[in-house]
Amino acid sequence: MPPCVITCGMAKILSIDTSTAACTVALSVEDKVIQRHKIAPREHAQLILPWVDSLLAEAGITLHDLDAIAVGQGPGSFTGLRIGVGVAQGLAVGASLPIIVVSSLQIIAQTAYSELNHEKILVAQDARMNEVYWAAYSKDKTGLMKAIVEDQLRLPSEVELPEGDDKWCLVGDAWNVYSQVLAERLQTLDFQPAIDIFPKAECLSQIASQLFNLNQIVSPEDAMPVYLRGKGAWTAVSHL
Amino acid sequence: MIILGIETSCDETGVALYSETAGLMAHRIYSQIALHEEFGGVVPELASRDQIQKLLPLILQLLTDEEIALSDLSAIAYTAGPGLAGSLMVGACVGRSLAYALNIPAIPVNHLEAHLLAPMLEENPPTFPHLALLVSGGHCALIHVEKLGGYFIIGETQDDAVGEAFDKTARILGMPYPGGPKIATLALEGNPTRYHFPRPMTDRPGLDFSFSGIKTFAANLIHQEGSDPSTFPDIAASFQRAIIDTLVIKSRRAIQQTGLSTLVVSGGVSANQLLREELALMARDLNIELHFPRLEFCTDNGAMVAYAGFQHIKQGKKTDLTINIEPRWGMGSNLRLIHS
Ligand SMILES: Nc1ncnc2c1ncn2[C@@H]1O[C@H](COP(=O)(O)OP(=O)(O)OP(=O)(O)O)[C@@H](O)[C@H]1O
Ligand SMILES: [Mg+2]
Repeated sequence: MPPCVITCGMAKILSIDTSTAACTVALSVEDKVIQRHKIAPREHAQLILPWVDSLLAEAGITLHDLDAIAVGQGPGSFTGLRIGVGVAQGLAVGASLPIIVVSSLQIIAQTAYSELNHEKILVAQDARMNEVYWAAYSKDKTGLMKAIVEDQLRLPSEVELPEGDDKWCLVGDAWNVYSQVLAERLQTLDFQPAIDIFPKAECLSQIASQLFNLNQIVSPEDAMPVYLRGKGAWTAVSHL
Repeated sequence: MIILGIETSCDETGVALYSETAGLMAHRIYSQIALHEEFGGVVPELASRDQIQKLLPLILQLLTDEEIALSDLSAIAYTAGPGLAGSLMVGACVGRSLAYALNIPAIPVNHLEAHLLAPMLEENPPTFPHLALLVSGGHCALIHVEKLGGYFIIGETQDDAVGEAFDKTARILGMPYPGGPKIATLALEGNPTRYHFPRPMTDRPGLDFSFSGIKTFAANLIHQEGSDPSTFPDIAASFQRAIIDTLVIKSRRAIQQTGLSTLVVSGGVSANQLLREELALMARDLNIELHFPRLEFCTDNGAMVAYAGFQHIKQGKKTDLTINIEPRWGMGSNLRLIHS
Protein backbone atom coordinates (compact mmCIF):
# COMPACT_ATOMS: atom_id res chain seq x y z
CA MET A 1 0.00 0.00 0.00
CA PRO A 2 1.38 3.45 -0.80
CA PRO A 3 2.13 5.64 2.19
CA CYS A 4 -0.77 7.89 3.04
CA VAL A 5 0.84 11.21 3.76
CA ILE A 6 -1.94 13.74 3.95
CA THR A 7 -4.68 11.99 5.82
CA CYS A 8 -2.82 9.68 8.18
CA GLY A 9 0.44 11.49 8.76
CA MET A 10 0.51 13.83 11.75
CA ALA A 11 1.49 17.36 10.83
CA LYS A 12 5.19 18.12 11.10
CA ILE A 13 5.42 21.09 13.44
CA LEU A 14 8.29 22.92 15.09
CA SER A 15 7.17 24.34 18.45
CA ILE A 16 8.88 27.13 20.38
CA ASP A 17 8.14 28.86 23.68
CA THR A 18 10.43 31.44 25.29
CA SER A 19 7.91 33.22 27.50
CA THR A 20 9.51 32.11 30.78
CA ALA A 21 12.97 31.23 32.09
CA ALA A 22 12.58 27.93 30.21
CA CYS A 23 13.84 27.76 26.66
CA THR A 24 11.84 24.99 25.07
CA VAL A 25 11.76 23.71 21.48
CA ALA A 26 10.09 20.57 20.11
CA LEU A 27 9.68 18.87 16.77
CA SER A 28 6.73 16.61 16.05
CA VAL A 29 7.13 14.22 13.13
CA GLU A 30 4.92 11.25 12.40
CA ASP A 31 3.73 10.24 15.86
CA LYS A 32 6.94 11.19 17.62
CA VAL A 33 7.84 14.36 19.48
CA ILE A 34 11.44 15.22 20.26
CA GLN A 35 12.31 18.12 22.53
CA ARG A 36 15.12 20.31 23.84
CA HIS A 37 14.37 22.01 27.13
CA LYS A 38 16.43 23.99 29.61
CA ILE A 39 15.81 26.50 32.38
CA ALA A 40 18.18 29.11 31.03
CA PRO A 41 17.31 32.73 31.79
CA ARG A 42 18.86 35.14 29.25
CA GLU A 43 20.26 32.33 27.09
CA HIS A 44 17.23 31.73 24.87
CA ALA A 45 18.55 33.63 21.85
CA GLN A 46 21.76 31.64 21.94
CA LEU A 47 20.14 28.24 22.36
CA ILE A 48 17.22 28.36 20.04
CA LEU A 49 18.61 28.04 16.50
CA PRO A 50 21.27 25.43 17.37
CA TRP A 51 18.44 23.38 18.93
CA VAL A 52 16.20 23.80 15.89
CA ASP A 53 19.09 22.66 13.72
CA SER A 54 19.87 19.61 15.85
CA LEU A 55 16.21 18.58 16.16
CA LEU A 56 15.79 18.70 12.38
CA ALA A 57 19.01 16.72 11.93
CA GLU A 58 17.89 14.13 14.47
CA ALA A 59 14.58 13.70 12.61
CA GLY A 60 16.40 13.61 9.28
CA ILE A 61 14.30 16.39 7.75
CA THR A 62 14.78 20.04 6.79
CA LEU A 63 12.82 23.13 7.72
CA HIS A 64 11.14 23.01 4.32
CA ASP A 65 9.62 19.60 5.14
CA LEU A 66 7.61 21.12 7.98
CA ASP A 67 3.90 22.00 7.83
CA ALA A 68 3.95 24.85 10.34
CA ILE A 69 5.78 26.60 13.16
CA ALA A 70 4.06 26.99 16.52
CA VAL A 71 5.01 29.65 19.01
CA GLY A 72 3.91 30.64 22.49
CA GLN A 73 2.74 34.22 22.09
CA GLY A 74 2.52 35.15 25.76
CA PRO A 75 1.80 36.60 28.11
CA GLY A 76 5.24 36.36 29.68
CA SER A 77 8.69 37.96 29.57
CA PHE A 78 8.45 40.77 26.97
CA THR A 79 11.89 40.19 25.50
CA GLY A 80 11.33 36.44 25.64
CA LEU A 81 8.12 36.75 23.63
CA ARG A 82 9.87 38.79 20.96
CA ILE A 83 12.67 36.24 20.73
CA GLY A 84 10.19 33.41 20.19
CA VAL A 85 7.99 35.32 17.77
CA GLY A 86 10.94 36.90 15.93
CA VAL A 87 12.61 33.53 15.38
CA ALA A 88 9.32 31.90 14.37
CA GLN A 89 8.69 34.71 11.88
CA GLY A 90 12.15 34.47 10.33
CA LEU A 91 11.97 30.68 10.01
CA ALA A 92 8.40 30.72 8.69
CA VAL A 93 9.00 33.39 6.06
CA GLY A 94 12.21 31.74 4.90
CA ALA A 95 10.60 28.30 4.56
CA SER A 96 7.16 29.52 3.38
CA LEU A 97 5.35 28.14 6.40
CA PRO A 98 2.35 29.36 8.37
CA ILE A 99 2.54 30.08 12.08
CA ILE A 100 0.31 28.77 14.84
CA VAL A 101 0.11 31.09 17.84
CA VAL A 102 -0.81 29.68 21.24
CA SER A 103 -1.26 31.32 24.63
CA SER A 104 1.78 30.69 26.82
CA LEU A 105 -0.58 30.23 29.77
CA GLN A 106 -2.37 27.50 27.84
CA ILE A 107 0.98 25.79 27.25
CA ILE A 108 1.68 25.95 30.98
CA ALA A 109 -1.78 24.49 31.72
CA GLN A 110 -1.23 21.72 29.17
CA THR A 111 2.17 20.96 30.68
CA ALA A 112 0.67 20.95 34.17
CA TYR A 113 -2.02 18.50 33.04
CA SER A 114 0.56 16.19 31.54
CA GLU A 115 2.80 16.33 34.60
CA LEU A 116 0.25 16.41 37.42
CA ASN A 117 -2.58 14.58 35.67
CA HIS A 118 -4.97 17.21 37.03
CA GLU A 119 -7.74 18.37 34.67
CA LYS A 120 -8.53 21.76 36.19
CA ILE A 121 -5.61 24.17 36.22
CA LEU A 122 -5.35 27.74 37.47
CA VAL A 123 -2.31 29.53 36.06
CA ALA A 124 -0.83 32.48 37.95
CA GLN A 125 2.43 33.94 36.65
CA ASP A 126 4.21 36.86 38.31
CA ALA A 127 3.82 39.87 36.00
CA ARG A 128 5.81 42.24 38.29
CA MET A 129 4.39 45.66 39.23
CA ASN A 130 2.20 43.81 41.76
CA GLU A 131 0.17 42.09 39.06
CA VAL A 132 -0.28 38.53 37.80
CA TYR A 133 -1.02 36.89 34.48
CA TRP A 134 -4.01 34.77 35.30
CA ALA A 135 -6.25 32.17 33.63
CA ALA A 136 -8.23 29.01 34.36
CA TYR A 137 -7.97 26.04 32.03
CA SER A 138 -9.97 22.83 31.94
CA LYS A 139 -9.46 19.64 29.94
CA ASP A 140 -11.89 19.13 27.05
CA LYS A 141 -12.89 15.76 25.57
CA THR A 142 -10.00 15.80 23.10
CA GLY A 143 -7.49 16.00 25.91
CA LEU A 144 -6.61 19.66 25.38
CA MET A 145 -6.70 22.36 28.02
CA LYS A 146 -9.25 25.07 27.11
CA ALA A 147 -9.68 28.47 28.79
CA ILE A 148 -12.58 28.71 31.23
CA VAL A 149 -11.32 32.08 32.46
CA GLU A 150 -9.50 33.93 29.65
CA ASP A 151 -5.90 35.09 30.03
CA GLN A 152 -5.81 38.35 31.97
CA LEU A 153 -3.50 40.78 33.75
CA ARG A 154 -4.84 41.56 37.21
CA LEU A 155 -3.97 42.47 40.74
CA PRO A 156 -3.79 39.16 42.63
CA SER A 157 -6.68 40.38 44.77
CA GLU A 158 -8.87 40.86 41.69
CA VAL A 159 -8.33 37.75 39.55
CA GLU A 160 -11.49 36.39 37.94
CA LEU A 161 -12.68 33.17 39.54
CA PRO A 162 -14.06 30.20 37.59
CA GLU A 163 -17.64 29.21 38.38
CA GLY A 164 -18.73 25.87 39.81
CA ASP A 165 -17.32 23.70 42.59
CA ASP A 166 -14.52 21.95 40.75
CA LYS A 167 -11.29 21.02 42.43
CA TRP A 168 -8.49 23.19 41.04
CA CYS A 169 -4.76 22.95 41.00
CA LEU A 170 -2.87 26.27 40.94
CA VAL A 171 0.45 26.46 39.09
CA GLY A 172 2.88 29.23 38.17
CA ASP A 173 5.48 31.35 39.90
CA ALA A 174 3.04 33.97 41.24
CA TRP A 175 2.29 31.73 44.23
CA ASN A 176 5.85 32.25 45.48
CA VAL A 177 5.29 36.00 45.58
CA TYR A 178 1.59 36.56 46.30
CA SER A 179 0.53 33.42 48.19
CA GLN A 180 -1.19 35.37 50.93
CA VAL A 181 -3.29 37.69 48.83
CA LEU A 182 -4.03 34.96 46.28
CA ALA A 183 -5.12 32.55 49.04
CA GLU A 184 -7.48 35.19 50.32
CA ARG A 185 -8.94 35.86 46.89
CA LEU A 186 -9.37 32.14 46.21
CA GLN A 187 -10.86 31.24 49.58
CA THR A 188 -14.25 30.26 48.11
CA LEU A 189 -12.49 27.94 45.68
CA ASP A 190 -11.44 24.35 46.29
CA PHE A 191 -7.83 24.54 45.18
CA GLN A 192 -4.35 23.33 46.00
CA PRO A 193 -1.16 25.10 45.03
CA ALA A 194 1.30 22.93 43.16
CA ILE A 195 4.91 23.49 42.32
CA ASP A 196 6.00 25.96 39.71
CA ILE A 197 5.47 24.56 36.21
CA PHE A 198 7.52 25.66 33.20
CA PRO A 199 5.95 25.35 29.75
CA LYS A 200 7.18 22.45 27.64
CA ALA A 201 7.29 22.67 23.86
CA GLU A 202 6.13 19.05 23.50
CA CYS A 203 2.86 20.11 25.13
CA LEU A 204 2.67 23.11 22.80
CA SER A 205 3.03 20.76 19.86
CA GLN A 206 0.02 18.78 21.12
CA ILE A 207 -2.12 21.93 21.08
CA ALA A 208 -0.62 23.09 17.79
CA SER A 209 -1.41 19.82 15.98
CA GLN A 210 -5.07 20.24 16.74
CA LEU A 211 -5.09 23.92 15.72
CA PHE A 212 -3.31 22.99 12.50
CA ASN A 213 -5.99 20.43 11.68
CA LEU A 214 -8.61 23.11 12.31
CA ASN A 215 -6.66 25.38 9.94
CA GLN A 216 -6.11 27.91 12.74
CA ILE A 217 -2.96 29.32 11.23
CA VAL A 218 -1.71 32.85 10.60
CA SER A 219 0.78 34.29 8.15
CA PRO A 220 4.18 35.13 9.68
CA GLU A 221 3.67 38.91 9.78
CA ASP A 222 0.42 38.41 11.71
CA ALA A 223 2.09 36.37 14.45
CA MET A 224 2.53 38.89 17.28
CA PRO A 225 3.31 38.74 20.98
CA VAL A 226 0.40 39.23 23.38
CA TYR A 227 1.75 41.29 26.27
CA LEU A 228 -1.53 42.08 28.07
CA ARG A 229 0.27 45.03 29.66
CA GLY A 230 -0.48 48.08 27.46
CA LYS A 231 1.49 51.25 26.89
CA GLY A 232 -0.46 52.99 29.65
CA ALA A 233 1.99 51.32 32.04
CA TRP A 234 4.78 53.60 30.85
CA THR A 235 5.12 57.21 31.91
CA ALA A 236 7.07 60.11 30.48
CA VAL A 237 10.83 59.66 30.14
CA SER A 238 12.84 61.62 32.68
CA HIS A 239 15.60 63.79 31.28
CA LEU A 240 18.85 65.53 32.27
CA MET B 1 25.15 39.04 -4.80
CA ILE B 2 22.30 40.84 -2.97
CA ILE B 3 22.43 41.68 0.75
CA LEU B 4 19.40 42.44 2.88
CA GLY B 5 20.28 44.98 5.60
CA ILE B 6 18.24 45.33 8.79
CA GLU B 7 18.53 48.23 11.25
CA THR B 8 16.59 48.08 14.55
CA SER B 9 19.00 49.56 17.09
CA CYS B 10 16.67 52.21 18.49
CA ASP B 11 13.45 53.84 17.31
CA GLU B 12 13.82 53.48 13.57
CA THR B 13 13.11 50.35 11.55
CA GLY B 14 15.29 50.37 8.44
CA VAL B 15 15.63 47.78 5.68
CA ALA B 16 17.59 47.89 2.43
CA LEU B 17 18.86 45.83 -0.47
CA TYR B 18 22.46 46.27 -1.60
CA SER B 19 23.73 44.59 -4.75
CA GLU B 20 27.36 43.89 -5.53
CA THR B 21 26.85 45.00 -9.12
CA ALA B 22 24.09 47.61 -8.88
CA GLY B 23 24.94 49.16 -5.51
CA LEU B 24 22.08 50.29 -3.30
CA MET B 25 18.87 48.98 -4.89
CA ALA B 26 16.26 50.34 -2.49
CA HIS B 27 15.58 51.05 1.13
CA ARG B 28 12.65 51.70 3.49
CA ILE B 29 12.48 53.43 6.87
CA TYR B 30 9.73 53.45 9.42
CA SER B 31 10.26 56.04 12.16
CA GLN B 32 8.63 55.81 15.57
CA ILE B 33 9.03 59.52 16.34
CA ALA B 34 5.27 60.03 16.75
CA LEU B 35 5.03 57.15 19.24
CA HIS B 36 7.73 58.55 21.53
CA GLU B 37 6.82 62.23 21.27
CA GLU B 38 4.14 61.94 23.94
CA PHE B 39 6.72 60.43 26.32
CA GLY B 40 9.41 63.05 25.67
CA GLY B 41 11.95 60.44 24.59
CA VAL B 42 12.37 56.86 23.53
CA VAL B 43 10.70 54.31 25.84
CA PRO B 44 12.75 51.14 25.24
CA GLU B 45 9.94 48.63 25.74
CA LEU B 46 7.58 50.50 23.43
CA ALA B 47 10.35 50.89 20.84
CA SER B 48 10.91 47.12 20.91
CA ARG B 49 7.19 46.45 20.49
CA ASP B 50 7.02 48.69 17.47
CA GLN B 51 10.13 47.07 15.99
CA ILE B 52 8.58 43.60 15.93
CA GLN B 53 5.34 44.95 14.54
CA LYS B 54 6.98 46.83 11.70
CA LEU B 55 10.06 44.84 10.71
CA LEU B 56 8.68 41.86 8.82
CA PRO B 57 6.01 43.80 6.87
CA LEU B 58 8.70 46.32 5.89
CA ILE B 59 11.03 43.57 4.62
CA LEU B 60 8.25 41.87 2.66
CA GLN B 61 7.08 45.18 1.17
CA LEU B 62 10.61 46.08 0.09
CA LEU B 63 11.08 42.71 -1.62
CA THR B 64 7.69 42.91 -3.34
CA ASP B 65 8.23 46.48 -4.54
CA GLU B 66 11.66 45.63 -5.92
CA GLU B 67 10.49 42.32 -7.38
CA ILE B 68 13.22 40.48 -5.50
CA ALA B 69 12.49 36.95 -4.27
CA LEU B 70 13.78 35.71 -0.93
CA SER B 71 15.75 33.13 -2.88
CA ASP B 72 17.63 35.97 -4.63
CA LEU B 73 19.24 37.03 -1.34
CA SER B 74 22.88 36.05 -0.75
CA ALA B 75 23.23 37.20 2.86
CA ILE B 76 21.46 39.07 5.62
CA ALA B 77 23.15 41.78 7.69
CA TYR B 78 21.61 43.13 10.89
CA THR B 79 22.68 45.67 13.49
CA ALA B 80 23.85 43.80 16.60
CA GLY B 81 24.87 46.85 18.65
CA PRO B 82 25.32 49.29 20.17
CA GLY B 83 21.72 50.25 20.93
CA LEU B 84 18.65 49.29 22.94
CA ALA B 85 18.73 45.58 23.83
CA GLY B 86 15.04 44.95 23.14
CA SER B 87 15.11 46.69 19.77
CA LEU B 88 18.38 45.04 18.70
CA MET B 89 17.01 41.64 19.64
CA VAL B 90 14.13 41.95 17.16
CA GLY B 91 16.39 42.58 14.15
CA ALA B 92 18.86 39.93 15.28
CA CYS B 93 16.20 37.22 15.81
CA VAL B 94 14.30 37.87 12.60
CA GLY B 95 17.46 38.42 10.53
CA ARG B 96 19.42 35.46 11.86
CA SER B 97 16.47 33.05 11.61
CA LEU B 98 15.53 34.16 8.12
CA ALA B 99 19.13 33.64 6.99
CA TYR B 100 19.11 30.17 8.56
CA ALA B 101 15.88 29.25 6.77
CA LEU B 102 17.29 30.51 3.46
CA ASN B 103 20.59 28.75 4.11
CA ILE B 104 22.62 31.94 3.56
CA PRO B 105 25.19 33.69 5.79
CA ALA B 106 24.15 36.15 8.47
CA ILE B 107 26.36 39.09 9.45
CA PRO B 108 26.01 41.06 12.70
CA VAL B 109 26.95 44.68 12.01
CA ASN B 110 28.24 47.35 14.37
CA HIS B 111 25.89 50.32 14.13
CA LEU B 112 28.71 52.84 14.51
CA GLU B 113 30.74 51.25 11.75
CA ALA B 114 27.59 51.37 9.60
CA HIS B 115 27.28 55.13 10.28
CA LEU B 116 30.99 55.57 9.42
CA LEU B 117 30.51 53.77 6.11
CA ALA B 118 27.26 55.54 5.13
CA PRO B 119 29.10 58.14 2.99
CA MET B 120 30.45 55.25 0.87
CA LEU B 121 26.96 54.91 -0.60
CA GLU B 122 27.36 58.25 -2.40
CA GLU B 123 28.93 58.93 -5.78
CA ASN B 124 32.72 59.42 -5.64
CA PRO B 125 33.00 57.70 -2.26
CA PRO B 126 35.87 58.57 0.07
CA THR B 127 39.03 56.47 -0.04
CA PHE B 128 41.10 55.12 2.85
CA PRO B 129 42.77 56.32 4.98
CA HIS B 130 40.65 59.22 6.16
CA LEU B 131 39.51 61.12 9.21
CA ALA B 132 35.94 60.43 10.32
CA LEU B 133 33.82 62.75 12.44
CA LEU B 134 30.95 60.72 13.92
CA VAL B 135 28.24 62.97 15.33
CA SER B 136 25.12 61.05 16.37
CA GLY B 137 22.51 60.77 19.07
CA GLY B 138 24.69 58.62 21.29
CA HIS B 139 28.22 59.38 20.11
CA CYS B 140 30.69 62.08 19.19
CA ALA B 141 34.16 61.03 18.08
CA LEU B 142 37.03 61.71 15.74
CA ILE B 143 38.29 58.49 14.24
CA HIS B 144 41.38 57.74 12.22
CA VAL B 145 40.06 55.27 9.64
CA GLU B 146 43.05 53.40 8.31
CA LYS B 147 41.07 50.92 6.28
CA LEU B 148 37.86 48.95 6.46
CA GLY B 149 37.83 47.53 9.99
CA GLY B 150 40.80 49.66 11.11
CA TYR B 151 39.26 52.36 13.29
CA PHE B 152 41.29 54.31 15.83
CA ILE B 153 39.51 56.79 18.06
CA ILE B 154 41.67 59.88 18.44
CA GLY B 155 39.11 62.02 20.22
CA GLU B 156 35.72 61.50 21.84
CA THR B 157 33.21 63.13 24.13
CA GLN B 158 33.85 62.99 27.84
CA ASP B 159 30.17 63.35 28.67
CA ASP B 160 27.14 64.01 26.43
CA ALA B 161 26.98 63.03 22.78
CA VAL B 162 26.42 65.95 20.43
CA GLY B 163 22.92 64.84 19.33
CA GLU B 164 22.07 64.33 22.98
CA ALA B 165 23.09 67.93 23.74
CA PHE B 166 20.79 69.14 20.95
CA ASP B 167 17.91 66.96 22.17
CA LYS B 168 18.24 67.94 25.84
CA THR B 169 18.50 71.66 25.10
CA ALA B 170 15.52 71.42 22.76
CA ARG B 171 13.54 69.83 25.53
CA ILE B 172 14.23 72.74 27.88
CA LEU B 173 13.03 75.02 25.09
CA GLY B 174 9.81 73.00 25.07
CA MET B 175 10.41 71.21 21.77
CA PRO B 176 9.52 67.52 21.38
CA TYR B 177 12.02 64.71 20.79
CA PRO B 178 14.18 64.60 18.69
CA GLY B 179 15.02 68.25 19.08
CA GLY B 180 18.15 68.53 16.89
CA PRO B 181 16.41 69.41 13.63
CA LYS B 182 13.95 71.68 15.49
CA ILE B 183 16.78 73.70 17.10
CA ALA B 184 18.38 74.04 13.69
CA THR B 185 15.14 75.42 12.24
CA LEU B 186 14.53 77.81 15.14
CA ALA B 187 18.14 79.02 14.88
CA LEU B 188 17.47 80.25 11.34
CA GLU B 189 15.47 83.16 12.81
CA GLY B 190 17.95 83.88 15.62
CA ASN B 191 21.09 85.91 16.20
CA PRO B 192 24.00 83.54 16.84
CA THR B 193 26.18 86.27 18.44
CA ARG B 194 23.67 87.49 21.03
CA TYR B 195 24.76 85.02 23.72
CA HIS B 196 28.31 83.87 24.38
CA PHE B 197 28.26 80.15 24.94
CA PRO B 198 31.49 78.37 25.92
CA ARG B 199 33.46 76.37 23.34
CA PRO B 200 34.50 73.61 25.76
CA MET B 201 38.01 72.13 25.65
CA THR B 202 39.04 74.21 22.66
CA ASP B 203 41.55 76.38 24.56
CA ARG B 204 43.85 73.47 25.34
CA PRO B 205 45.42 70.80 23.15
CA GLY B 206 43.67 67.50 22.53
CA LEU B 207 40.85 66.16 20.42
CA ASP B 208 38.29 65.24 23.07
CA PHE B 209 34.91 66.92 23.41
CA SER B 210 32.61 67.91 26.24
CA PHE B 211 29.07 69.09 25.65
CA SER B 212 27.40 68.94 29.04
CA GLY B 213 28.74 72.43 29.86
CA ILE B 214 27.09 73.95 26.79
CA LYS B 215 23.84 72.23 27.71
CA THR B 216 23.99 73.51 31.31
CA PHE B 217 24.85 76.98 30.05
CA ALA B 218 21.74 76.86 27.88
CA ALA B 219 19.59 75.71 30.81
CA ASN B 220 20.84 78.55 33.03
CA LEU B 221 20.46 81.11 30.27
CA ILE B 222 16.87 80.10 29.55
CA HIS B 223 16.11 80.41 33.25
CA GLN B 224 17.87 83.82 33.45
CA GLU B 225 15.84 85.12 30.54
CA GLY B 226 12.67 84.10 32.37
CA SER B 227 11.90 81.32 29.89
CA ASP B 228 10.78 84.09 27.53
CA PRO B 229 9.95 82.49 24.15
CA SER B 230 11.03 85.65 22.30
CA THR B 231 14.63 84.88 23.35
CA PHE B 232 14.47 81.27 22.14
CA PRO B 233 15.56 81.84 18.53
CA ASP B 234 18.67 83.72 19.68
CA ILE B 235 19.41 81.07 22.30
CA ALA B 236 18.99 78.28 19.72
CA ALA B 237 21.22 80.10 17.22
CA SER B 238 23.93 80.88 19.78
CA PHE B 239 23.82 77.32 21.15
CA GLN B 240 24.07 75.77 17.71
CA ARG B 241 26.89 78.13 16.77
CA ALA B 242 28.90 77.08 19.85
CA ILE B 243 28.45 73.36 19.10
CA ILE B 244 29.34 73.72 15.44
CA ASP B 245 32.35 75.96 16.20
CA THR B 246 33.62 73.34 18.65
CA LEU B 247 33.22 70.53 16.13
CA VAL B 248 35.00 72.55 13.44
CA ILE B 249 37.89 73.58 15.71
CA LYS B 250 38.53 69.96 16.72
CA SER B 251 38.16 68.62 13.19
CA ARG B 252 40.66 71.18 11.91
CA ARG B 253 43.04 70.24 14.68
CA ALA B 254 42.67 66.52 13.91
CA ILE B 255 43.35 67.05 10.22
CA GLN B 256 46.46 69.05 11.02
CA GLN B 257 47.65 66.50 13.58
CA THR B 258 47.14 63.42 11.41
CA GLY B 259 48.03 64.95 8.06
CA LEU B 260 45.03 63.16 6.55
CA SER B 261 43.56 64.80 3.48
CA THR B 262 39.97 63.55 3.63
CA LEU B 263 37.27 64.25 6.20
CA VAL B 264 34.19 62.01 6.31
CA VAL B 265 31.25 63.12 8.46
CA SER B 266 28.34 60.89 9.50
CA GLY B 267 25.65 60.28 12.13
CA GLY B 268 22.38 62.13 12.73
CA VAL B 269 23.93 65.54 13.42
CA SER B 270 25.77 65.46 10.08
CA ALA B 271 22.37 66.43 8.64
CA ASN B 272 22.86 69.85 10.27
CA GLN B 273 23.09 72.51 7.58
CA LEU B 274 25.34 74.90 9.47
CA LEU B 275 27.78 72.08 10.24
CA ARG B 276 27.86 71.16 6.55
CA GLU B 277 28.51 74.75 5.51
CA GLU B 278 31.19 75.44 8.12
CA LEU B 279 33.04 72.21 7.40
CA ALA B 280 32.90 73.00 3.69
CA LEU B 281 34.61 76.35 4.37
CA MET B 282 37.23 74.60 6.50
CA ALA B 283 37.84 71.94 3.85
CA ARG B 284 38.38 74.60 1.21
CA ASP B 285 40.75 76.41 3.53
CA LEU B 286 42.76 73.26 4.33
CA ASN B 287 42.45 71.96 0.78
CA ILE B 288 41.04 68.59 1.83
CA GLU B 289 38.24 66.41 0.51
CA LEU B 290 34.95 66.43 2.42
CA HIS B 291 32.24 63.73 2.39
CA PHE B 292 28.77 63.50 3.90
CA PRO B 293 26.00 60.92 3.54
CA ARG B 294 22.85 62.15 1.76
CA LEU B 295 20.49 63.64 4.35
CA GLU B 296 18.32 60.54 4.77
CA PHE B 297 21.37 58.36 5.51
CA CYS B 298 22.69 60.63 8.29
CA THR B 299 20.22 59.20 10.80
CA ASP B 300 19.59 55.47 11.29
CA ASN B 301 18.79 53.50 8.14
CA GLY B 302 19.03 50.02 6.65
CA ALA B 303 21.18 51.04 3.68
CA MET B 304 24.31 51.63 5.75
CA VAL B 305 23.82 48.26 7.47
CA ALA B 306 23.41 46.43 4.15
CA TYR B 307 26.57 48.15 2.87
CA ALA B 308 28.62 47.34 5.98
CA GLY B 309 27.37 43.75 5.77
CA PHE B 310 28.39 43.57 2.13
CA GLN B 311 31.92 44.68 2.99
CA HIS B 312 32.21 41.97 5.63
CA ILE B 313 30.73 39.21 3.51
CA LYS B 314 33.31 40.04 0.84
CA GLN B 315 35.92 39.17 3.45
CA GLY B 316 34.16 35.87 4.12
CA LYS B 317 32.89 36.80 7.55
CA LYS B 318 29.70 35.36 9.00
CA THR B 319 28.24 34.31 12.30
CA ASP B 320 27.23 30.94 13.78
CA LEU B 321 23.71 29.92 14.83
CA THR B 322 23.74 31.63 18.21
CA ILE B 323 21.90 34.94 18.16
CA ASN B 324 23.98 37.58 19.92
CA ILE B 325 23.48 41.26 20.48
CA GLU B 326 25.95 43.73 21.98
CA PRO B 327 24.00 46.69 23.42
CA ARG B 328 27.27 48.31 24.56
CA TRP B 329 29.40 47.36 21.61
CA GLY B 330 32.13 49.97 21.42
CA MET B 331 34.10 51.12 18.47
CA GLY B 332 37.72 51.79 17.73
CA SER B 333 40.16 49.01 17.05
CA ASN B 334 38.01 46.46 18.89
CA LEU B 335 35.57 46.68 16.00
CA ARG B 336 37.80 44.14 14.36
CA LEU B 337 36.47 41.56 16.79
CA ILE B 338 32.98 41.83 15.34
CA HIS B 339 32.86 38.45 13.72
CA SER B 340 33.68 34.92 14.67
N1 LIG C 1 19.68 68.91 11.50
C1 LIG C 1 20.10 68.45 12.67
N2 LIG C 1 20.78 69.23 13.53
C2 LIG C 1 21.20 68.77 14.72
N3 LIG C 1 20.97 67.53 15.16
C3 LIG C 1 20.29 66.70 14.36
C4 LIG C 1 19.81 67.10 13.08
N4 LIG C 1 19.16 66.04 12.52
C5 LIG C 1 19.23 65.04 13.41
N5 LIG C 1 19.89 65.41 14.52
C6 LIG C 1 20.16 64.63 15.72
O1 LIG C 1 20.69 63.39 15.35
C7 LIG C 1 20.41 62.42 16.39
C8 LIG C 1 19.95 61.13 15.78
O2 LIG C 1 21.04 60.59 15.07
P1 LIG C 1 21.29 59.05 14.96
O3 LIG C 1 20.05 58.43 14.44
O4 LIG C 1 22.52 58.82 14.22
O5 LIG C 1 21.52 58.72 16.48
P2 LIG C 1 21.21 57.40 17.28
O6 LIG C 1 21.11 56.27 16.33
O7 LIG C 1 20.09 57.68 18.21
O8 LIG C 1 22.53 57.24 18.15
P3 LIG C 1 23.83 56.36 17.83
O9 LIG C 1 23.91 56.21 16.35
O10 LIG C 1 24.95 57.13 18.41
O11 LIG C 1 23.61 55.07 18.52
C9 LIG C 1 19.37 63.06 17.30
O12 LIG C 1 20.02 63.44 18.48
C10 LIG C 1 18.91 64.27 16.49
O13 LIG C 1 18.49 65.34 17.29
MG1 LIG D 1 22.46 55.90 14.91
